[in-house]
Amino acid sequence: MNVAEKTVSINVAQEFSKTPGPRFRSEGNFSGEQFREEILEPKFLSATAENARMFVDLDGGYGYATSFLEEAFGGLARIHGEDRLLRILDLKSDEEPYLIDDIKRYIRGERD
Amino acid sequence: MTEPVHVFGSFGWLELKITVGELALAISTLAAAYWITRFIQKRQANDEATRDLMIKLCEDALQELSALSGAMEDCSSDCKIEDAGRQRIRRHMQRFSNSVHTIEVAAAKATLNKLTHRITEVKDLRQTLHTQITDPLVTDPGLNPDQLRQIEGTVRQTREALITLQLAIIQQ
Repeated sequence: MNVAEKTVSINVAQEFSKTPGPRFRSEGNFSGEQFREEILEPKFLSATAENARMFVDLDGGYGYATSFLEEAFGGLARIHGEDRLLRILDLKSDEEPYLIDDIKRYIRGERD
Repeated sequence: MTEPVHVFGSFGWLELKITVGELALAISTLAAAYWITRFIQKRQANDEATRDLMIKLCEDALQELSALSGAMEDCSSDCKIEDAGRQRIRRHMQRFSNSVHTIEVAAAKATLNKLTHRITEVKDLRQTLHTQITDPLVTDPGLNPDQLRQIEGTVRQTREALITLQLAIIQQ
């Protein structure tokens, strides 16, 4: 079995919320900070440990605030490094395909 | 060895003679000219079709931007937005963002590299608008008058950037 083909998946709408909220927990429910700490980072560490890819499905919700995505993905890149994250991250967003570019920019720290 | 000479006729001082080699050269030149003309015409037709498509996509984006701006009007009185209003604004924001994404995809497929920096300008404004609109929508009470004024300014800049892109496409 080729370990590089293993994938750790996240479906944001199913596993976290269909109505993602603001940047920080202090600003409201289902924040980017909460998503990063409770879902994204544990899955990232699991994927890294297993030498697997991390697949994040962004579809199925009611839309994302910029600050939610920046805090979740940009925040994870600030902790673990953009190269480590970009190397294993696969994103899916059929409903809002431009979000994929946006998230990659947040990871590279081009925008906050 | 002398090539056969065909004499087409003699008209006073003008005498028309052509060798087989000259005839073959003339035919091949005419054929090449015909195919080059057809190639250019086809390419011009393709360029025109691409230009028409890109202009149409810009018009679509301008329409979606107007619809988004209209949806923002609903919350300009007391700034408190109900859930249905928030969803409507998000939906219009999504449609506008997708229309900008379609312009980018079409330009890339048509390899319109000269438009890259104009499209990047529209994309950057789209992202600014996304931030200005979606961030306040996830916190209460919603948008305050200062934020609404900033959004209206960005809508105007985005509209101008789209029109500038249209003009660049026309002038290509």
